[in-house]
Amino acid sequence: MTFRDVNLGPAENASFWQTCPLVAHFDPSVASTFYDDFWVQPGTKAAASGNYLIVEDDSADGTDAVLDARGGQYKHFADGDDNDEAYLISCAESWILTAGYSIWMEARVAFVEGSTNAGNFLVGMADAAGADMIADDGGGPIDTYDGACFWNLEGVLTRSFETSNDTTQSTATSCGSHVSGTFTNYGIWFKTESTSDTVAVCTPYINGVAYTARNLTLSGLEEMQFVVGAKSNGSAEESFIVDFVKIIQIRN
Amino acid sequence: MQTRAYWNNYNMTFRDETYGPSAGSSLWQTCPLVAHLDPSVASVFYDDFWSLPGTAATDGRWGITEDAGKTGTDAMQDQRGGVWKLFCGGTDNEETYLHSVAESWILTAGYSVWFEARVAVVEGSTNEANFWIGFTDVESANQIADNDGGPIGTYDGVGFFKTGTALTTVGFETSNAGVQSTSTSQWTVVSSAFRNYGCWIKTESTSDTVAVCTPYVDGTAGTAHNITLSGLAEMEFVIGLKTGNTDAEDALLIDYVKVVQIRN
Repeated sequence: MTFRDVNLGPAENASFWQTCPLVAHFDPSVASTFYDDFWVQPGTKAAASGNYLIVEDDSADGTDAVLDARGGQYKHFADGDDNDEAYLISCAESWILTAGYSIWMEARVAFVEGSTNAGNFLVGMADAAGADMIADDGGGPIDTYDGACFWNLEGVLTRSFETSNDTTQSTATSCGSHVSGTFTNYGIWFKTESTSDTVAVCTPYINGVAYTARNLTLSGLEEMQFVVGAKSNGSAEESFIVDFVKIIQIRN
Repeated sequence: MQTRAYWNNYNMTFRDETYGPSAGSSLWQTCPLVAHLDPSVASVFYDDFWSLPGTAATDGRWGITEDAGKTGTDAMQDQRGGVWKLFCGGTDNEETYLHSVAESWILTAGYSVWFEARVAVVEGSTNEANFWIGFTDVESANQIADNDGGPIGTYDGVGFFKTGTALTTVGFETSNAGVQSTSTSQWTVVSSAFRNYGCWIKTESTSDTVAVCTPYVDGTAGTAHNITLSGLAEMEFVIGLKTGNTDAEDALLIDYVKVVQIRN
């Protein structure tokens, strides 16, 4: 059972959250809820505060700040030297994908290229969230991590999605094209509804529309953090604007 | 996933066939859905402990009152759902309290309250920890009396407690100043195992003279206690721990705290 408003939406199958049980949103004994609408700045690299850490190379000229915009939006810059990077990461490894414990994660993010088609961007969940989560020189997500993420690379407009268990990644799913500076809702439904599951079915959603799902083997997975980040190709400073992050996981 | 609507105590609630909760197994089935969503109806305090809630110097929504000298390091745990570990000094009668920074709740006729905290007590030595989980207007040292004395003798509040004896001694108490209604030995705890400690403090009419306080552990209702409303002061939410006489450091694992109270 889910709800839609005739005037305000969402339309049928146009919201990722239509797949999440209503009770998981309000009953804390059923599920945990991480939700940030970015009304305040989520700390700094030097002084982490609230629910986040910032891992980045120094010397970005842009000023990280909450924008004068509807709904709470935070803009974060990455320095413009080649392979300099910046990541906003939840401060603890608070999610682990275990049989029977589904996860819903959605982040509304605009990736802003410093110059046309120049940036590398990533958003998702990983146990290796930190420096070089995006490999240098347009290398995409690192080769060894547990989790799932969206990314796009310098010189390439395609959005991609993959799952990863240690060194084994699924074949990337193409999820449309990236447009610089345009907000996009990146959602992942990690579906595992039985304690006997050996894989979770991970369905990527872009703006509420599902793309091809990828399986993720559950055995051996580590706890994960939320991560969003950018890496420069050396031509200009990249940045990302985060509107919200919401993550729900079944608790028991 | 198959979510359906049900009626419970004339309250529309929801259950999912896959994820639960099953009928009668969640405190929150007694709380109106609109109270979770509509701030003009109710206030909602909810912390899932995604990050450290501060230190002995107040930070954010929580303050910590404790004895100095503990050796354990308070820290976020790499666990599902956001879990924070808070240590208590290991000398007999040393204590630590995590308390909301303000007295933001008062039991008044017509203003029901629901609270639930998911907590595990990690005993440094078998059967020795004393704890308190609930509301009190005495959010400072010695909410738990020394020498396994249980909750102090004079306070306004409602909560769960355990004394530093057997693990079967988890009790529930309501208190209006010096008058308590106490049940001992209602539940058993296992060291390091999470349990959900909840209470529905029911007062639905402005002419009520008492509120009916029903304890819930893991979503199952226990024996209700009345509390006389007259004279009650504002309360904080407090989770506290006091070391017993075997001198080992105990700790709390806190997963979440949620408190809903009718606003108007």
